[in-house]
Amino acid sequence: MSGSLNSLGRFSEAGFNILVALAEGPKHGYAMMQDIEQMTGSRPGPGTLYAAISRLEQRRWIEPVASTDRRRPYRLTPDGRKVLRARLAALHEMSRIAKARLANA
Amino acid sequence: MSAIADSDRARWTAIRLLRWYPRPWRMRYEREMLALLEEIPVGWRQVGNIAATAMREWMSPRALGWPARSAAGRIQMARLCSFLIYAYAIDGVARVIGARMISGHVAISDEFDTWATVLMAVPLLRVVQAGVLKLKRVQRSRWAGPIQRHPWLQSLSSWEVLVLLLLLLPMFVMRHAEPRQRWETDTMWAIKPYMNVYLVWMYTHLLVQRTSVYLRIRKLQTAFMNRPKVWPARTPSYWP
Repeated sequence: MSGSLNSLGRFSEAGFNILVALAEGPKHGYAMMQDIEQMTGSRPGPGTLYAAISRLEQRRWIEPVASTDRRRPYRLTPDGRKVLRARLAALHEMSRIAKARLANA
Repeated sequence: MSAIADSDRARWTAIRLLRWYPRPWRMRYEREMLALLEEIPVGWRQVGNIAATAMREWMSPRALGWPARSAAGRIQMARLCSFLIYAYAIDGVARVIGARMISGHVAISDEFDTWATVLMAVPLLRVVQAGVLKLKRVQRSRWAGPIQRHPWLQSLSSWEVLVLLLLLLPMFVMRHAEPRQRWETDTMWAIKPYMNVYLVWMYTHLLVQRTSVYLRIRKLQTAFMNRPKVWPARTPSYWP
């Protein structure tokens, strides 16, 4: 299932952060939370984290990995990778335009 | 010391708040969320976050059981919807009778008021009585034998729910027909019709939750929720 991260609505930012965190490899909720805190400087709320996880799972962008632990790890799916690449490309383009405009100002 | 106690209270509240999430969500994510809450420092901000997202999950069509995850879920939802339609039909009849009473200048007598209140209390008392007999303490008492011999004491049949909802008709008529009271503010008067909608919903919910079919389904679901703490090979899906 493909689509844009914007379809996650208010969870699009949290969803993006989760995809970035999982780009490194499978992680469970707590590890994702720590990683996101390191990357962005703020820790997402547990409710927001799992709301975003459930929506990413619905879109088949992430999937749970079999585990005997209560802490279930998740990993990126090929679709999730595509969505993340598309968002990163858009951000890169945005950043290039912004830099050019700042340089000209 | 106080900060630790406060954090413990917040964690306890957060864990309790997980019950606010819809049942399908809890079946899929509750254990993971519990594990997370045991690991992270929990403050009141996190508690607020969990409460807010629980509300948000309820707004999802998935939470309302559509499409239902199981036959039991579908039965439960269909039954609740049928009873709600029936209860709102009673409210609709009451609305018509109330409008006729207003147009015919028929005043509500004190006797009618008293009877309506008494009849309205009957379903509540029945729900409380059935609930009390289901308490473990009562089930272990010397009354357990006689109670078990009469299962209708502990749960309601569908027919009984229909009759008990019908008992609300006089109260609904009264609420639709009674003129504005002196003590009623503008806001109270404005929300009065909506209060009736809420009343119907609340009563139907209370009664349906005590029906024998609901209790059987609930027992099955609880057994599933309390299954051995080993993850199944295949993760139950929250999203269909």
